[in-house]
Amino acid sequence: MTTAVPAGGGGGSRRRSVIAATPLAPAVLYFLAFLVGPLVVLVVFSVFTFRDLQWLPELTFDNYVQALTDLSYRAIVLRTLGVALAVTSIVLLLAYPFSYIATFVFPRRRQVVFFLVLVTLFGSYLVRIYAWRTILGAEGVINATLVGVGLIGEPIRGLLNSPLAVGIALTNFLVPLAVLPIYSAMQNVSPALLEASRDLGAGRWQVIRGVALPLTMPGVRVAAAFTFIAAASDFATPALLGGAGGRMAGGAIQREFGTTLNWPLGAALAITLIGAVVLVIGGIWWVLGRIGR
Amino acid sequence: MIAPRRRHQRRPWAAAVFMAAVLAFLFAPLVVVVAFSFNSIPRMSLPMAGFSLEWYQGLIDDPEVRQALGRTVTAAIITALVAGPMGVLAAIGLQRLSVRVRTTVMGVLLLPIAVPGLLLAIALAVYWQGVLGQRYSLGAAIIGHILLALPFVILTMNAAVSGFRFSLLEASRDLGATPWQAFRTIMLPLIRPAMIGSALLAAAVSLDEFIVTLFVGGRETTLPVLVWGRIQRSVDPSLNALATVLLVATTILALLAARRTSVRA
Repeated sequence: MTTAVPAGGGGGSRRRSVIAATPLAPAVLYFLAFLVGPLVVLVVFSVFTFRDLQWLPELTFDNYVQALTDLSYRAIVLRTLGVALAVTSIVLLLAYPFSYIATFVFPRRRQVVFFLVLVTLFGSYLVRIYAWRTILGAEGVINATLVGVGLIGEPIRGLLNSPLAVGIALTNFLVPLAVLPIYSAMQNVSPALLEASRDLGAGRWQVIRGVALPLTMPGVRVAAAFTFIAAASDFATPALLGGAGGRMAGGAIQREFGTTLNWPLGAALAITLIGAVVLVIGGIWWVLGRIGR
Repeated sequence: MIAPRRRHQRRPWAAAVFMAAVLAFLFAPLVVVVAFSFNSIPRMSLPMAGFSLEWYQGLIDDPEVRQALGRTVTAAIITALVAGPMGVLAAIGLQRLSVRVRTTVMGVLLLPIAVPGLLLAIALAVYWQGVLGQRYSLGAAIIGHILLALPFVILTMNAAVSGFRFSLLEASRDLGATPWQAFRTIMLPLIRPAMIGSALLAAAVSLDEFIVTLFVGGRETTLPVLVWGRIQRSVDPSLNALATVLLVATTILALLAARRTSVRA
């Protein structure tokens, strides 16, 4: 606490405003030291050379060349982006109607519903992935039920260790993350506005499509970005549920750091993946922008 | 508020079913873990056998689990004690910036939520050993936990502080109070519930954190990293009990945090 300036007092001199903002200093310094610093270092390492199990400060773009041209890595990245895109679509198709119904159809229950979603957001992420093994396994809940009812004779073994299992688990823990920004965007939409458009003769879908969706699109875009980033960079889910056919980019990056210790290549792989992720998110935002008009 | 119930009353059933189905999907894995943690046979398949607490007993008897529990709790407490005050100060500092600068700074401070955990983890790992030359340890992991918890603290505190009238502080300064007195007697009582809530949230983030800890924690494993190691090795029913304990702990922390942060200053 230094000087007392009224909230949002941007009118004062620059110096005054800088002094007034000193409470920000610890957090800002912390971010510089442990977020910006490490990220810059990672970029620098991505152009280092790796030889004899050692990284050397000899600048090279070979890591990027390898990241972009290695066929197996390219296949993994494409699969990762594909799974992440599918997961993002399904997550949005679940989270949007869910938030809409909670906010506008059952407005009195929305606090309870939102809280339940928050509980699942904070309920351990590893634990939930692990639970899907129990649910999708050959003797798991789904197979045991289907066999028990007599719908199938033999358990379906392909449920687990497949891209499908990865997609189900990712969807499961990303829906709450997407509900958060969508739900909060909807709280700013007046129900009276939706009511008015109905009174003017708009049908249920016209109200959603023409009024609610454009107004809440910023929240949907944030949700889409969060979901896609998280789905594309996750490595625990593919490792535990993906099997050999469900390997994703996060696992490949982790291997360079955990097993082969090739930090420069791992860094280049990670930065390449982030680049691809940013491109796809740009595309998603463009498409959402068209839909939200 | 005018609730648009009239038109929807024709068919709220479809909406209710959809919502229930989504909630069931979200809770399904949690229910499975909790249910199997009380299963009396070491098989993770249906049908379940009788009720038993043996997996919980096994946890208590496991020295590795006890050690990891100690580290997890240590990390959660330090994270709350560091990220809490730092985030509160940051939220206060943010209020004094012009709207445009505030939006930019806020965007930067929320970065740890948007940047993939894996990227943060490998960046910290390279930085910690390759640049600072330090050994991987619980301390390194806690540095990451604080980074990841800060956005949540700042978000909740920002909501609590944004309604505060800073002219009150100014008035008390004019009446002769020191800055600390002004803060302690006027602002602190109003934002205390949110402060406690955001510190609890920080503890919950630390408790559940796994990726950064895996990369920079070295041999000093916490409970989530222990779970990760054991999941990969085998089907181990005591994991269900461990998972249930973690789940209950994070849920209680989140519950307490939510109750406090919903009180707005």
